[in-house]
Amino acid sequence: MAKDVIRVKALGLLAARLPGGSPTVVDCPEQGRLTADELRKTLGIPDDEVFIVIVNGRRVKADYPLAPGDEVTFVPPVAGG
Amino acid sequence: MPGFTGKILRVDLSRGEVSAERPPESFYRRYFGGRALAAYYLLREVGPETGPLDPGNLLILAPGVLAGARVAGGSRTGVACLSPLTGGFGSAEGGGFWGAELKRAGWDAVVVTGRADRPTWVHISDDRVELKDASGLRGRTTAEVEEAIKAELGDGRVRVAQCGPAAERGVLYANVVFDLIHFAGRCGCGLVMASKNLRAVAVRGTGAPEVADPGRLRELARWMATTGLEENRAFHENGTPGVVAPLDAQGGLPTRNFREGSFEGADRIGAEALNGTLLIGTDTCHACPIACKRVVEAGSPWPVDPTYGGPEYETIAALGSLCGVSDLHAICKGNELCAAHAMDTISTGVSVAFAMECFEEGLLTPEDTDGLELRFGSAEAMVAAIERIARREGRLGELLADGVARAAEELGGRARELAMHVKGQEVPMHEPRLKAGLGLGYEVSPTGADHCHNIHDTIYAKSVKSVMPLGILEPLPADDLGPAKVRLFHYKVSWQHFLDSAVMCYFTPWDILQVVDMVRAVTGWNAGLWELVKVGERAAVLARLFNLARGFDASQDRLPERFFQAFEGGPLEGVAVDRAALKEARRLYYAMAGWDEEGVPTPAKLHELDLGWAARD
Repeated sequence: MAKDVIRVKALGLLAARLPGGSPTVVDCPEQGRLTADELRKTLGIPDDEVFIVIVNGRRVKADYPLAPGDEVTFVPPVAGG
Repeated sequence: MPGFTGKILRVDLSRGEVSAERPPESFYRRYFGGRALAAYYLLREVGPETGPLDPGNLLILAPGVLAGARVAGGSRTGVACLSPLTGGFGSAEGGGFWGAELKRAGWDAVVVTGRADRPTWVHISDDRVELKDASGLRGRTTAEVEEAIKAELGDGRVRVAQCGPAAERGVLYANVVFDLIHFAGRCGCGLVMASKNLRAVAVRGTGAPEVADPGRLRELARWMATTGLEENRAFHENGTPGVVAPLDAQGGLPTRNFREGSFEGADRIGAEALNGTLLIGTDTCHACPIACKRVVEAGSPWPVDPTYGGPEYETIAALGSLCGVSDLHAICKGNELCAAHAMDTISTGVSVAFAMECFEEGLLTPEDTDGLELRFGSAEAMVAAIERIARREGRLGELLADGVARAAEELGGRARELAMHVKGQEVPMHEPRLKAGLGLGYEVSPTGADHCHNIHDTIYAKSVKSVMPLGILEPLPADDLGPAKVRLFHYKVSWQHFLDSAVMCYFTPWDILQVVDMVRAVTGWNAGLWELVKVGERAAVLARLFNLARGFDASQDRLPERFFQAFEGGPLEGVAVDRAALKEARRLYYAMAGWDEEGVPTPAKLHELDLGWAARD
């Protein structure tokens, strides 16, 4: 994967929130310039629709600084049945 | 009377008689339909001396107030009885078209008692009710029986509710199916139906249920067909299997008999894997534009017949991750087998996963399994075990067809620690180590472990918009079990019991106030949210009383021990249910609900719910 981008996945019903569907790729500024929560806002995903954010397989907080090459997954809360 | 036909069909199979009961409007406003109505009949008519398979048990088929009205989600049917699986209150709901058809035929519910002296099916055609000979239907699959009934009547549009061959063979978690693909899955209601020598209830109606305000109802239906559908298109595309990936990422996808909470094969069994491979279409329920039901088809090595629809999330997790199986084709085959024989996929999957762990631990030997290598991850073993359960074949089939609680008692020792159930009901595919309030719900549910009349805490971790009309104003962490969470639990679960009494779908995207609006539009009553929540609470308390009368007490309100053990890996590594916090939450819930410290509703609470007749003193 190109090193200057972030790969973004949105699971469940959140997938419909991503332009062009999930997964997608977005440009990433240099390290430390974009947090997980800022990426969410950029993508237009409402905060209350995200239960957790996972970066490179680990759960992170909203202020986690993203780096080029990261893989970010937005996970919604779900009931299921 | 708008919203109701005013007639309940009584069928006495021992006497071969049918009759109509005509309760007053006040009865319907107190007990609505579905669970509340069924709990009323069960508590009044099935005493503690009656066994689940005795003729004196009742089998109740009860849709709700909205059945037959042209709004999505309102035409489900509640099925209830004294459960052979739990020995207590049995209640389950299924979708489809049967409930709407029963209303069109002029009936609000069917209450069956007795036992026919030969295999029987019931044909309801408007006011005409006939008991018909079902001798030729014994042992046949559900699809064969539906086809035979339609052929005999020369009517392809008749709607059929039935139990299946698994019930005829005595599987304790045999269920009742509507239109072949909509299951009232839990509590073993199908076995009670079979014990009455009753294979099917086929119904055809030509009337139109009366609606007080058709204009308002049309507005609501228009909202669902436009905004509701548009905002939930992803649910149409993925159905409930869409939650596999999010639950796995959160650590809440039950895996290998609840030992783990995430599954390395999750991406091979979810909606993304199903779409474009085995999925050939979708299906729906009466008046619902969402169409979330899956339809799958497959060939060799396990031909899967699309007549039986496709798997829901619960089935995918129970037969998949819970058994360590990542072969979606095998999961679809397991789903088809459970459907054709009419048995609950949750209890089936939990039973198979239990057996796999027992086998790996040496508690079951190849001798016990007739050579079947029952190991986690074996798709072949999972499918073979289901076939044996459905036929109660061999030692393994006999053992697992009775559910994990009885199987563990028979095996003894450590097997008891591996049996994932509450009150004899196998645990569904949701993790109390992720959702703490859900664990409380598993404990206090009148039907044993249940995910429907329950809360899913993660939903309220960021937003409580959906429950603000109940007075819940601040988000609460998913792992919280404090007083505010218990209050949310009490209010929301009472609402869920109302939904199961109106017998409404949980997945149609109506909000709480729209449901109130619908009830008002259909009935013309000046009903409000408060009144409807009280109907739900009434249902829960009647069910609790039914269990208490049969010897249940607070000691059965307990989670399986495994949930108090921490996950050893995955997203929730180190997380366990907090035993002390759960005990305190349970105590607090009893108090908030107006139950004493032993979990017994106080006489004052019974009077507050207008249930003075049920007070013992």
